[in-house]
Amino acid sequence: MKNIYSLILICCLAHTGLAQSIIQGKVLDKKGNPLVGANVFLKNTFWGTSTDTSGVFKFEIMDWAQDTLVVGLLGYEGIEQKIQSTETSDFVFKLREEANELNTVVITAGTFEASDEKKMVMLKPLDIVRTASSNGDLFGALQTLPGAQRVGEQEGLFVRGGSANESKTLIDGMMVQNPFFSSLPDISTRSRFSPFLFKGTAFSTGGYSAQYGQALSSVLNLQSQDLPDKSNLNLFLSPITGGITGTKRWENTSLALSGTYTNVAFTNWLIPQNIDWIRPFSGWGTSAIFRHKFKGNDLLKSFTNYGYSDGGFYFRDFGTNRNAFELSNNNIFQQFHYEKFFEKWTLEAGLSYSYNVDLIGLNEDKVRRLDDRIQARLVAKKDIFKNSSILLGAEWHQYQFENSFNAFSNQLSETYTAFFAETEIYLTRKIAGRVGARAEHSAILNRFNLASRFSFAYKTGKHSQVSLAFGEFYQNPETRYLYQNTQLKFEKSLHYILNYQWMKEGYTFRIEAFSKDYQDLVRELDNQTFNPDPNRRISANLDNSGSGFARGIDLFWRDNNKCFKNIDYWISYSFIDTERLYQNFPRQASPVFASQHNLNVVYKHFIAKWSLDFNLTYSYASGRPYYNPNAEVFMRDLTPDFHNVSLGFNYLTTFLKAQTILIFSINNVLNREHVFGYRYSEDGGERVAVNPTVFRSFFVGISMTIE
Amino acid sequence: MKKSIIFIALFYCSLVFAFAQEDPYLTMMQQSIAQLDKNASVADFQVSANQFERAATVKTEEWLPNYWAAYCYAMMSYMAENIDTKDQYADQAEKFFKKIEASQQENDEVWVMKAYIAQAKLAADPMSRWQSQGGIFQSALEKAKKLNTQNPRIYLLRGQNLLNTPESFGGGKASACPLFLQADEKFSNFKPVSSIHPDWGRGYMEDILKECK
Repeated sequence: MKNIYSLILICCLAHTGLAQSIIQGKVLDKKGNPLVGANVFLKNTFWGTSTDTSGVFKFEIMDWAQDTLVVGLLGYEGIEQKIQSTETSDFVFKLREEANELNTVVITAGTFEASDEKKMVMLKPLDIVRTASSNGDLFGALQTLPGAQRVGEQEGLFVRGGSANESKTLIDGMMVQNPFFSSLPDISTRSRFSPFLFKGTAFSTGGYSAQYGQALSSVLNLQSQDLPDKSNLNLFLSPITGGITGTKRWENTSLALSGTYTNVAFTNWLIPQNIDWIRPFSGWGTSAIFRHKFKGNDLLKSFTNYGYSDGGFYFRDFGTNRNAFELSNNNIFQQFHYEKFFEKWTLEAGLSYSYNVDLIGLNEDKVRRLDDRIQARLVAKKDIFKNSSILLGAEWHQYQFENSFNAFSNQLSETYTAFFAETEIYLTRKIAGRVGARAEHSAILNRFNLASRFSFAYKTGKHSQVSLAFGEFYQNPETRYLYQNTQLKFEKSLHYILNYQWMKEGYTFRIEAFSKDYQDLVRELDNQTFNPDPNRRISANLDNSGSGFARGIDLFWRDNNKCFKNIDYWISYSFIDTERLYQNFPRQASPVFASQHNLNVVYKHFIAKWSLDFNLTYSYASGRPYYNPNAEVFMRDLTPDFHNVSLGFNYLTTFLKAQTILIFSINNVLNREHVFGYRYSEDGGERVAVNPTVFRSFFVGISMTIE
Repeated sequence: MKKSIIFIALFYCSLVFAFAQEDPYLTMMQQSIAQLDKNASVADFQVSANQFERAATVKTEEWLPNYWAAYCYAMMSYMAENIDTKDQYADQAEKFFKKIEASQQENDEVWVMKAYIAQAKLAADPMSRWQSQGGIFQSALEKAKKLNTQNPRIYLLRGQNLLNTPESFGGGKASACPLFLQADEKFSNFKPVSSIHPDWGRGYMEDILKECK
């Protein structure tokens, strides 16, 4: 009997010994507000609880085998604290918010980014394709962003008073030699690359990183897609072009092959043309995209592209004169890109080759333009702490240009080397800075340059921040000048940028003021009369005595499905004041590609009920200067203002089990007669307007994807 | 008197022993899983997620605590208000999921969970994600089906996905309902491996089936 009693005693003692301590307290944020749902528990035990609506927690522990209390909550930095068995109540834990994209400052001055992966970006890649006036061309959409100027008679990006030549297009950080189809007189050509090839677009209108060089005004960095998610077959058909793309996805490898054929004869016949075609442009292209993922997410990308095009037209002249212009082009582009990840390091290596040849017939004359470029790039990036990193890299280019006119021929060959180093430092979540330097050497100029770049950003509020940027930028003189004179210096620009941005859920507001100084621009000396022809023969003496400036302000407002459901719109406005003394300008004046005011309203409405995506773009650009030989003041006359309304409809459906998109768009709905400039007869007595090849134009297309 | 004291004491003791012998992990998991059906808000699921997280920190060799924690955060992502919060929860779900993904390649339920998280991300921003997340969703379910054609959640998720797809893209009720019926049939034959193994979706299934009829 006694034994039983002692057993009971032991039993009960043991039990009371188990149900021992109660741990209680509060979890708050740094400002003292209660945090709900925080996980509070004794490390490596099941004993714990979640905080209630007043941030209070209270739970029992059975023994003190462990003495570390863990406090955690999503979005906050966790705490681990050793506790004594004597103090079990009135704990107060203050959690610090974790650094994330929403509460950490970002270095943004000068850059417009579209990305699916990042949160604090102004655009998604899809937004670009859905812009009505773009006609499916990446650059068409970029023209609706602040800082870009509306220029209709020439391809390229004209940024903040800079010429197209001052903007460079990169794919995965590597320079693209021929981003557009061959240049035609007074006609703007499309880009060679489909916007669907890229997962991210960073359009920098100034103050960009030391990673990039040879661009005085702007850098457009396109990030190519990773492995596609699945195999599929895509067919695209329109009256202009037809194409097929087959994508095969294996476990860690993918290959996409595509072929396209383009011929504008049908649409040229259908839509009234402003020029006489000898042979409407036609061409074909083929590409291969290969991806392989190694262990540890290391990725190899290869992109191969070949294109051929041919066509001809008569360009305007005076009286009965007709000048024939015929062109056939062959273009090869090959790029490899490899990214390797180590624990704290990322290594990026790139190799590319491009070859481009234009055979041009000008009436009876034969012109041949040829260029090729080999390029290698290596970048190593190391994370140092938190978000901070340092980056080191090198670039090497070897390129040739050749331009022959009948028996005359100009050639040049250049070896360009660059080294760059940059560090991005987040002092706190509110202050960040980027400091970089780039050293370049040009063999043809036999010169060095050293450029410094600075960017700072300060978070002024929960949704707002201010950024500042300064940078020096160098570029080789244009090829046509280098053919004549290799004693020239690098051309140079200085950027100063001040930016404020406010982003909250679907709303974005951004204002940026900039000032750009141009130095050492190439000038043609001792010119008797000004010749506005960009293809004129250059015989004058050259030096680097040119200079110029550009200053202005860019505004951007976007409301993405926030105020109105399924409606996304943005408004961008740019004001610019720019003048330069360069090339064959007799005095400082505003260049022909600069319009003082640029306004774009882009509206996108997805009507889910009908699966219809409706887009509208209105663009306005104030008149641009043109050269009038009869005017008293040089480059003071302005073309009429530019107004353009474009509409686009995308209808999504399933047809024959294929995901189908029907595209219909109208450019220049109001059929306004756009004038991009005037060309004068030699005596100045007559003039013709430079117009686009068509005013109002239509586009229909169908895209079908079968999995 | 004495006898009854002894009796009470003994009874009490036996209870203590019984309690002590029960696997606290199993008890905790069972209680937490039973709670899931009663959860009605993000805050409720946060409490459950915390419980599973605690279980996961002790039972590091088990896949189920991480699986259920991922499930809770995916649910929170569906229930959350704005895209940023939705993403935050979906990313957290993925964090728990990643801990078990590599070791559970032959587990159909884990592939279903991968699809479920992808669907949560897709639902947060369908316009720009249908391609990327939609692809992950489909291929994960294909994998799951290869491993176990009888898993009802494969059909449930496919149905759910079609229900939220515009009719012009081959979605809508008409194409979703046959899948729900299939899921219903699989559910009636489905027996979870244990009381703490995945067996979710029945409640939602019944609600949605009413709409189909």
